[in-house]
Amino acid sequence: MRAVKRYLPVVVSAALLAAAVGATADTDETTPPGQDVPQVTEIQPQAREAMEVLDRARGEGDALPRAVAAPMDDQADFGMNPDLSRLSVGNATNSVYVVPAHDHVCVTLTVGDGADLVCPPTADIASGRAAPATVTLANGDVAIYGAVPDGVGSVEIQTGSGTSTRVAAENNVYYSVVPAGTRLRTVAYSGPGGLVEFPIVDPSAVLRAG
Amino acid sequence: MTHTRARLAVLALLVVGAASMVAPAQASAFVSYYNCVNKPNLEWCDGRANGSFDGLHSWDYNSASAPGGSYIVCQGVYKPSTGTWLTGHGCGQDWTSHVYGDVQCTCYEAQVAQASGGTQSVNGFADAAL
Repeated sequence: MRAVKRYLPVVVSAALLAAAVGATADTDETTPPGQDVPQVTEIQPQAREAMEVLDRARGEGDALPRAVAAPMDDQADFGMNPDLSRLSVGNATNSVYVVPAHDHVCVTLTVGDGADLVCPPTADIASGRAAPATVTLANGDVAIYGAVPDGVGSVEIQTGSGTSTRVAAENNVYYSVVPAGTRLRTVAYSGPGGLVEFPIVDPSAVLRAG
Repeated sequence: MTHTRARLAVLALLVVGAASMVAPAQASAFVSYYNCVNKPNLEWCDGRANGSFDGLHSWDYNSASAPGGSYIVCQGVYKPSTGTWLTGHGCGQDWTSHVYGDVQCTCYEAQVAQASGGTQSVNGFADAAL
């Protein structure tokens, strides 16, 4: 008992020091958006209204590959729930799924054993203001994908010096691949809010500066 | 001598007990929250406190976000020993992330960047073991 009394200040000091270290780490953390949002258990009505693909019954083919569904379920960014996913574009190498979240609808493109992910607000998708995403594929090509609301049949992808490619929307998403080194410019489409045009960036063009 | 051993034993038990009070926070997977303040356009940033290096890890997940703004952010996982990126570095508006799968090599840097054309801050989150 005497030993406890003798070393109690040391132990208390050690505990306080450990707590202080933990607190310092916490204050260094800038919580990104989309974390700590309760995971949705059903598709929200606004999402169903904006995207017909979410208004159809879910089939076996709509399930994400398990290797990506499990970590997405763990992270649950924006409250997304992979168990509610729908397959929009099925492809031998890369497929695009939509995954309902809380006030957002995530769009994910499978890439190898992983997947790229963006989660625009449902309101932006509904009004035709959801921006595209780009991701580098295994062979260096760049994939361009994004979500559009019902009624948008295609998007225009501008590359190089004025080259325009029309890409059909399929099940509320569009997906296209351009060769490595292609200069990316914009994705444009006419939605409920009129014509929108978004810049797109080649991830490989981002300099490494550490 | 016996008393000294007993005291040391008690001390050891108490220190272990104190350490266990904070152990749960440290037992989870390694995570890193970016806090890249006022970064130039198209410049990768690694880790905490305005880009201080957060080490080499087997990053399975990486995300980038635009704090308080609306602009393009990018994320990537880089292997400095070879100068190559894991397949899957990408960009999106306001928020983007990538599930890299079960990465085994503890040899990667997780990075984020912004592509607004000006100077902007970038936040995000990386996880080394989902």
